Amino acid sequence: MSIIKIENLSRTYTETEVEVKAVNNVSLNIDEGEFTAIVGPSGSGKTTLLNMIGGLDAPTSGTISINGSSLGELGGRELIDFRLRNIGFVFQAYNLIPVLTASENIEFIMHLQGRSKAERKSRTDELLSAVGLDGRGNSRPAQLSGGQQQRVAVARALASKPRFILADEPTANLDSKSTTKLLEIMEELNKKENITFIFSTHDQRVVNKARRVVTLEDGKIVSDETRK
Amino acid sequence: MQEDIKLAWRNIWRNKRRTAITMASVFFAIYFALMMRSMQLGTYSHAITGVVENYTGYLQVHKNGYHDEKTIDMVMPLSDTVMTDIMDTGGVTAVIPRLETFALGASENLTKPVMVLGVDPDAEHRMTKIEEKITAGTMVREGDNGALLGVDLAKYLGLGIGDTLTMIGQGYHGASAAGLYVVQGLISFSMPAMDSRVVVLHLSEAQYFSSAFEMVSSLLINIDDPDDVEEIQTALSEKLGSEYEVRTWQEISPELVQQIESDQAGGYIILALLYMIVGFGVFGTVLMMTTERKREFGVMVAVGMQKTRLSVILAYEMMLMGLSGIIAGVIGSIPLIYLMHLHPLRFGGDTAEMMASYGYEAIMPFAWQADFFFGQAGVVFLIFLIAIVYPLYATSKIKVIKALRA
Repeated sequence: MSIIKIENLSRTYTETEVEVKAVNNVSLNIDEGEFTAIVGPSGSGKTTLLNMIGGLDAPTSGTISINGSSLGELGGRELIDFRLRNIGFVFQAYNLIPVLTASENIEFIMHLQGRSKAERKSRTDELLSAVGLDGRGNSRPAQLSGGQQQRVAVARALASKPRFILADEPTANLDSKSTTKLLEIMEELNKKENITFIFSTHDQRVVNKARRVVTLEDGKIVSDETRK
Repeated sequence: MQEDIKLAWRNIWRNKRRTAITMASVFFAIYFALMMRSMQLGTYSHAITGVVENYTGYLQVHKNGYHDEKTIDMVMPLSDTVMTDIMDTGGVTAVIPRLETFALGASENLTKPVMVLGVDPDAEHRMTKIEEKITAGTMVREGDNGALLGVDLAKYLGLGIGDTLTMIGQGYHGASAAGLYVVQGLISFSMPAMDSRVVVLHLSEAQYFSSAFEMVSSLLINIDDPDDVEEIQTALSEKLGSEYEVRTWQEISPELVQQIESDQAGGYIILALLYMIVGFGVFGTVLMMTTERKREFGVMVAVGMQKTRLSVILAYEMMLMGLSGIIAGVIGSIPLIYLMHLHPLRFGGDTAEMMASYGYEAIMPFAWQADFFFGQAGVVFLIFLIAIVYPLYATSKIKVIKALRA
């Protein structure tokens, strides 16, 4: 069952003198539980597509529906609330809040959702354990390695119990060992908890793990391969 | 809310040095503003008390026209009815008669224009504590052919207790006024302008000197709340009718009001400069805090934080920083202000002379009252509230994609 339906999606940037079609008439359906990599060379439109799926950027034309809700019909506050309840984000540069500990970074999302303290605590412990960071909950981001920070970021993305997670180049800043560990964690969460992951990546190791690989070139889908 | 305040508190300490500098600038602004304002208000209060409670009273009743033409011919009969009417007016706590006139005072070799002040000693003491102002000798009583001389006047004329003062002037309705008075004591009103020219006589003696029998020039009124002075003036004017004029201390001593106002204006300019410097400092901090965290704001909004909530956290940050500096500044200034309030600075030498030449006693008392603590703290807090506008605006306009690329 498709949780994301993208139809004739385009995004054109007109800020510069030359008009740039970052995403050009893309249609794509993503089902629940997929582990999908969107790949392509730099400037192919991967990040732009991910940003539009995440409601961070608005398409020039076309529609995105998530579980039947059209993102284009949501107002500013509704869209932020929609992201909070449905989408988890993992950024290339981790983007944890530096003044909060690992636990507090994870709790932060649940706090925004208005969940009780007890529920936050229990879910945070569970997630820290899931990403292999038991006992590091009180560490600030600056006290963690890049790989550990990205694992906290994954835990933060999962904290809100989202319908899917968008990860933009999640391994770009990680060494090989950290990448392997992170991918194992995400794959396990995908399989065990049926969480949908959508990556944009250049990293062949991520591509190798993906069960579906969508290739973009010049803003268009040039291949869409599903693996067993 | 608690979580948001915790986050805000941590945020302000992410750059400890900058926060410490900002808080220190607020601390010193508050500290110096309070010291300066306390000193100013203390000085004004001392000057007003000196003039009002020691000399003019809060209100005076005269024969209509006396205020503009202070001559012995403008005196009025001392009427029990008028005195009773005044005392029966709400807020009035005391009323006393005085006869003021001018004469030429002389010792053996020197002369000086003097102000003759005829007083009812007991009533006067109840209102102005006149006997406490006597620095040597004794108070003049009915039947005494004596006078109290202002300390500076006595010094100028070279007269001491037991010496004779000669006075000559104009009496009521063209009569001659002349008399010889034994210096019975010396008096200091802590007002150099008074101390250098006043001669205090018993009221009946002053009436006799100026041939203004049973007459007075002023009825001095004290009230229980100085803030009610205008209200009581209106009530008295209505009650006494057009034959009399009722004047407030501000009308009687406009030069004091002007001096205070011009000094206040200077003080306000200095305070404005101080606050402007603090304001720019605070705004600089706000600008840096907002700009350097643009990406973080983008992430927060991206993951689901409403912009309004982000604005609230930023507002908390500014308020926490401002309040910390303000509270520290207020607490830090209290001991010295209180000490100076209890033990005012006393000047000597040239400074004392200069202050005396301006009509001030050479001391610098500090005011101790809650309103100016709140006032100054309020102004600095307002600066922070104004500074909050920028981050609120910036967060409301945040574009997540651009912020994430920052």
